[in-house]
Amino acid sequence: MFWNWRTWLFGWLSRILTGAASWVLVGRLLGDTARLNYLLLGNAAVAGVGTFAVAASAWERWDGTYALLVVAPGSMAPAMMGRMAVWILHWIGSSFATFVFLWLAFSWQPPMMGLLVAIPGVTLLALSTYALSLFLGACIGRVPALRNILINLLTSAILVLCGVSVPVSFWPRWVQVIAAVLPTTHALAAIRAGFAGQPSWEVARDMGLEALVGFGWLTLAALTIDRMAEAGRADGSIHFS
Amino acid sequence: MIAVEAIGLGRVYDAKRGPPVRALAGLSIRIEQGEVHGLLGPNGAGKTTLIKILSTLLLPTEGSANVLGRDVTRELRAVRSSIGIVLGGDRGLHSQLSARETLHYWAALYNVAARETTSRVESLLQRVGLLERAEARVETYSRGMKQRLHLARGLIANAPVLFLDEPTIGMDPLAALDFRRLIAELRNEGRTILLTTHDMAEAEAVCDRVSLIDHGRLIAVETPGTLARLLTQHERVDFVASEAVAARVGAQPGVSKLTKLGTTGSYRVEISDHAALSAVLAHIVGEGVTSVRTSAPSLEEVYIHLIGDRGLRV
Amino acid sequence: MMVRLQSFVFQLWVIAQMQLRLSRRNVEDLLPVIVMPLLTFGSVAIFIDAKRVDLVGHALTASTLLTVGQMGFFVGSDLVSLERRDQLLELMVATPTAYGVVLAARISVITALGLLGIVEGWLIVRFAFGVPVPLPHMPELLATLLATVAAASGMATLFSALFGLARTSRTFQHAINGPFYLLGGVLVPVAYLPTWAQHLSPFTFFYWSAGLLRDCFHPEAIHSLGGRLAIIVALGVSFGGSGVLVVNRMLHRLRRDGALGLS
Repeated sequence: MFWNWRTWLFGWLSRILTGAASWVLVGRLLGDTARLNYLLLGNAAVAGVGTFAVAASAWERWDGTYALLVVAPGSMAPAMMGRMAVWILHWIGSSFATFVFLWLAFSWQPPMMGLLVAIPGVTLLALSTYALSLFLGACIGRVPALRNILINLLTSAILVLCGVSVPVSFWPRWVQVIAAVLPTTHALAAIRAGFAGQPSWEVARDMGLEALVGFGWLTLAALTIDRMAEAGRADGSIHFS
Repeated sequence: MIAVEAIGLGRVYDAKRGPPVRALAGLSIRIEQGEVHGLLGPNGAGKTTLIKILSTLLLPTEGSANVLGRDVTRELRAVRSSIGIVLGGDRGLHSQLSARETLHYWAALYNVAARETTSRVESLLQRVGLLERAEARVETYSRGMKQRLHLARGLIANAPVLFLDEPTIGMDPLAALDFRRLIAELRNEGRTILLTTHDMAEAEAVCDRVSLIDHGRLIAVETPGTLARLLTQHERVDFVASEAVAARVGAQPGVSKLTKLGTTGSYRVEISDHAALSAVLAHIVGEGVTSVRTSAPSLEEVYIHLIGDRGLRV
Repeated sequence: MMVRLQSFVFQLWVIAQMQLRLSRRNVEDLLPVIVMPLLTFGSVAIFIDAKRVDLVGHALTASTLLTVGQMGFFVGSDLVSLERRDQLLELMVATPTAYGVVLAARISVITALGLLGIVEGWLIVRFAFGVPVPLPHMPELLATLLATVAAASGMATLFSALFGLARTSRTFQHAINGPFYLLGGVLVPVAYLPTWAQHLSPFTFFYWSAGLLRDCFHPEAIHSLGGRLAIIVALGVSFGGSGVLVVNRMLHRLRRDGALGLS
């Protein structure tokens, strides 16, 4: 499954933009411009979440290539990571398209500094969610039927907990701890800091934290992909087709 | 009485790129009630297209067809009420249902009366040998078991006409043998069966008549035995001997042709004069040959002779 | 006549049972029921953070309608394309039972499972956020939910014919739902939409269902209940009837083009 320009524009993007419009309406319902801007920025930034990568190992199994990757010399991780990496461009593009849509359709006036921060912020956010998704996808590789549920649960968790719709501080302390290790939280904080004109070091700190979170999940993903292959050899869950 | 009839049936598919594809070209066929009729032909010959038209799943672009006197393009409900379809392969079943649940569902779709459903389902499960695994989900079944469930599903409506599209594909030899026994039983019940297959042995074993199709056209319609005689009217004797012995046998009166079979010292002579058969056989035995038998051309030989040996080409 | 009716009812019963089994045994079929109510977390959090606890009923309405809607549009309308892929469509069309009827019955079962959304949503609001949501109009609520299921099933039947049989990209299929939810005001009442869009809203059953559901969460008497329910049901019947007609048309076209199966 891959997009052509028609399906990307009229299928995927229109869905993203409908979501953005719904947050505009919520902002109007609440009658609070600051909250409206908060919602718009958060949802535009996460239009690029890369949770789709959970499906990586499922796709390999369905294509019948998983077994071939297992028996090939070397680690499976580069192949599975590489297969999904091309989607990162799509996720980043979705986010930027949402920013443009909000600017054009709703006369949203973001500050230039904010947009400059948004570029690396969204990229980092897409990469780190991609990393976590790869890890989770490797974990449920033997039960491909769970992939869509996991994708949706992860997306919901990010939308709810990571400061997209409400500040992370809204949640109880234990939820905040979880949010701190989820991708998106720190990148979004950096983007919000940039938009609010906060000092550069704050922006850099949050970007750094996001990079750390993403690197951590990527490392776990790389280790898990091969571990699951070994487990598959032990329990006979690797099939030819 | 005619159970299935096609008159000048044609089907052309429009291709997105390139010229249209003609899957059937002016095909006319008649199948008697109670007949088991085989459709043989290479991949892409038009066998499945014919089955689809007869089972109302595809509209022809030319000609007409009817099942038990009902037009397959206009009297859909009547035709569908009188046919059962059996497909080959892994698909066509809800994998998360059990065999019993599957048959109950299809019984409802075929308007089997509520009070008859349970007994019919149990009887079919028994007949196809799935009673013991009737509660297990289809996704746990082997290919052969799925095929048997396909057959049971095709029989659920007690339809007088059955279309079987490569029903033994993927079956092991024992299961395929069992299947042929089942076909014979169905024929004895008076059902009309149209069967597509690549298995020549199966077609020879179960079919009353066989139609050879290629490139959408009917090439021949005969009994398997008659088809064999199309290839040669002569008696054939196969034996194993040295080259010198074979040459002497080949020189005997009444022998019209000597052919070497493979590289294992096997030979075949064709005898044009039936009266000479005994003498030729006596000569072969007199030469000390112990491996000898008479044979008629197999359906496979007829198929290859008429369709042509195209190897892996389409 | 009675015999035929009995036979028809029995047929529907078997079909419904079969679909219930399939849906229970396939976790993917229950995706909206698992995921949609989680959106309640987001919307309720926004309303509480904005000190607008009075809007929690809106969140619960949205959770309910999105779950019912997605069960119909996401799961139900995929039925045809999946069965076509699995070579089941051909076999079902070859039976004497009208495929449109089978489809509508199965989609209705799938859509009805979406009612679990209101239960989950209510539990989330009550126990995760500690906000009580009284239900002062229980019979009216149940009637609204049943009418909504009927309407969603009708619309999903039409969608399944348009998307499943027309082989339209799945991405288009998923994209078309969003505007319906917006126009219907499932989360935010349509008064906040641009004026031109508000004129379209009454043509979606979501508009009527959302309004009724929100009223059911408030203690005041519900106005024009019968009329509004009738509109929801009428919209459902018209969509469903159109759906069955479109199914028949599409099947005829697929038989003509030789595209009923994917092989």
